[in-house]
Amino acid sequence: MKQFLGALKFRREVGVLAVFILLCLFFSVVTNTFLTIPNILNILRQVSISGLIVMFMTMIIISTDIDLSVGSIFAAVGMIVAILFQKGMNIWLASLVGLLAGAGFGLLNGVVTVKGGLPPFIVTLGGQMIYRGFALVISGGAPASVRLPDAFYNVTGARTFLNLPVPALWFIAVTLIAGFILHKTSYGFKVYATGGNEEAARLSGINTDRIRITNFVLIGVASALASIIQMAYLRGVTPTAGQGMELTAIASTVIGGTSMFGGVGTIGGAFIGTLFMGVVRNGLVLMGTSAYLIDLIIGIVLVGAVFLSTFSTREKR
Amino acid sequence: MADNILISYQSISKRFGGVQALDDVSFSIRKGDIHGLIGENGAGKSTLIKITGGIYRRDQGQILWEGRPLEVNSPLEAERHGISIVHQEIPLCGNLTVAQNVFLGRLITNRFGQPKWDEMEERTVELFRQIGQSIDPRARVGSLSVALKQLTTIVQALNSTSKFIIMDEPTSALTPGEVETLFEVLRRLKAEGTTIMIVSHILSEMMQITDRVTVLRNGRHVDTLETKDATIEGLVHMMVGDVPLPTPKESQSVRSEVVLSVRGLSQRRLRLRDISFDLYKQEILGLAGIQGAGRTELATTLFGVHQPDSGTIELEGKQITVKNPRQAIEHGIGYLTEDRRNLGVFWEMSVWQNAGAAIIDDLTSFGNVLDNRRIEEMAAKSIRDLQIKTSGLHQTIRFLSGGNQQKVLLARWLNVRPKVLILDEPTRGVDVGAKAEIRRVIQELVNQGISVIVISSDLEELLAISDRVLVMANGSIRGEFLAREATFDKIMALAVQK
Repeated sequence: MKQFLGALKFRREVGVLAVFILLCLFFSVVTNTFLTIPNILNILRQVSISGLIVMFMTMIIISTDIDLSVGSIFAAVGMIVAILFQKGMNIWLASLVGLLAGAGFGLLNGVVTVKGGLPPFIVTLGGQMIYRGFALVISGGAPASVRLPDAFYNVTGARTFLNLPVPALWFIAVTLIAGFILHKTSYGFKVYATGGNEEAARLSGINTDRIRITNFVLIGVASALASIIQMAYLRGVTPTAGQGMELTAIASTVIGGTSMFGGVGTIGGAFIGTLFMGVVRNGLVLMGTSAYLIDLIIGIVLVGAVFLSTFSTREKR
Repeated sequence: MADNILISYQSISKRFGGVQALDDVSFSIRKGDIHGLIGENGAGKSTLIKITGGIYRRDQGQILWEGRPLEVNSPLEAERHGISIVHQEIPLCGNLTVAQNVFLGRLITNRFGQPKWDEMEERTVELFRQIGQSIDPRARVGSLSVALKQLTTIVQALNSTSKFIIMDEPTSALTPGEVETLFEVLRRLKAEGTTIMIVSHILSEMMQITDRVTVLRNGRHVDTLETKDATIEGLVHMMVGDVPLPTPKESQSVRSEVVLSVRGLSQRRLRLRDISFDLYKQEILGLAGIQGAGRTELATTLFGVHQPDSGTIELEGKQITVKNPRQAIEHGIGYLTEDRRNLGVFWEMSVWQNAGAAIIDDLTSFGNVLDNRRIEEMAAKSIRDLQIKTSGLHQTIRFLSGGNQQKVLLARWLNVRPKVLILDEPTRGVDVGAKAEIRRVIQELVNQGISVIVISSDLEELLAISDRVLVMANGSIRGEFLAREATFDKIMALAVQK
């Protein structure tokens, strides 16, 4: 038992999990609607789009990189798929093209960052503007609406499947896949090694360049997938979609216990971090908090949660 | 009695998880003494130092400082009491200059709070002159040699007005001449009334410099005695208990089969010039030389970290090119780094993850899926073969002692099953017992058919374990000896040539 508690102490997520549970209790008490199945499903659905990205943001931050261009990849891919579909392409094929485009954007970020030896912050900040510009150019700045075939809609954006919102199911499935990749495969090991000590990893024969580039490709694909699901759910896309999405994703990642210094973080934590952000926003809305106040409160909660999680695991002296 | 005692440790205990790092340790240090602290890896020396310096908190016991209870909760508080620590692993800001590092935290400023760099730079030069070194105070610390970095940390301690200076392995990266200079400085400080505690594995140095010695073993206090009453054999016995010392090397390799053959290897940027040598099967080849001779540069070039400008490398008769460490590992070449802290250890990761890092793709099944059974087998074998002291394979490596961390890194390379293993300062900062074990492991490797290149600044050790020694100076090979025919004088004569 003692051993068990000892193991818990070193897991950064535990502090956040405790705060998360308290928060849920708080909202359950002060509102009648928070702890209801429709509301919980609603939260899951609301966080599912950015949640898909959080999982791979976690991976990329563990390897000491960062991607600020996810929101723009999200918009660009949405426009690509919608335009191809409007021009008569099969939606499945168009989606595949979209996923490949996401991979391509990610590859571009990764290759320029890693092979060019540039800071990922700057490269993906540039990427953010470039892909957003791309989305605006191909759309002429106008939103596009799509009338998707049922077969496609049912497996991507449908509001219910077995009474569950399909985007939420995607979110859970992708979480499990990301968890498997990061925690159960040699690839995940290499992500931690690269983030923990890149030089030592290279000297151990790990191709750290390839790991970092692959992480960029994975988050590009995740952004594309999120975009396609959102398009299906909303039955349309806008070239300005996904603004600020990278910040939400980074916030969720960090709340989930991932260290901005790299080498530390888990998918379990990322999942809690994602729900945390969703619950705070949802709970505040249910309490009737002014829309102007919500961001202010979320900012405080973000810093407070990270403080608590660092505090609870600060190296024992 | 109490009057001449500066600091007195009374029943100090400290636990880290399942490891009792210090167990009821009591001893005193007299004012104006140079006090030696010795013990094997994991004996608790570093823990004791960190408790004194306010980096760790003790679980039990108390420290009396000039007769009064001492409570320090941060290095800054320790410094205010007049306690400074020269750490084993060098905490310097590589991006700042020597003078900026020396005056870090105690800048000399003018009335308006602006730093007076000229004055600080002059003082820095003066402090280095006191220890017999000349230095450019504006040089970036990151560009200095390990020895100069170490001297910079010592100068940092000299710069504060300390009553008590603790030095953790201050000589491990120094040449014999630099060690002598350091000892002169210590004697001068002692004459001025400063008390010094020095931790070192090099017992001959301890015999030379200290007034009294305290021995720790497995977190317990064994004895504190007057150095003049001590013998090296006696101290070793107290440190390790009843463990046989390493026997000197007996078997000579059969010089029949060449495993690695290097011809005309040059690398302009690293100043490696026209290096040619052969490594025989089951041979231990020592590389001797002073700091900056190019030994590590040669090793990392063979390991694919750098690309040679010219020359060839043949492995088992076939010419190979090594573009990166991964290819080197695939060819069967391993390299244990000299810079464990920055280039070796994954600090946030566990013992098994550190030991398995170079073979992670072999610890999988079904493609890339990590296989717990293989991992456990690998970890159990590593922990057993190298006698790594750890609470388990999932223990985070940073909670291990330096010597045990080094064993984990050695395990990483043994797991690769190399044909050629290059060990760069394998016993640096490692105590007598672990040194003996590492030597034993090296010998076992050779018996299993591996060929080893050893780089060590400890000539005694190099001669004891090598079959043959190459002497490097200024990026080229200056001479070759069979270890049993080599002497310190012959080697040093070549090593210091321009």
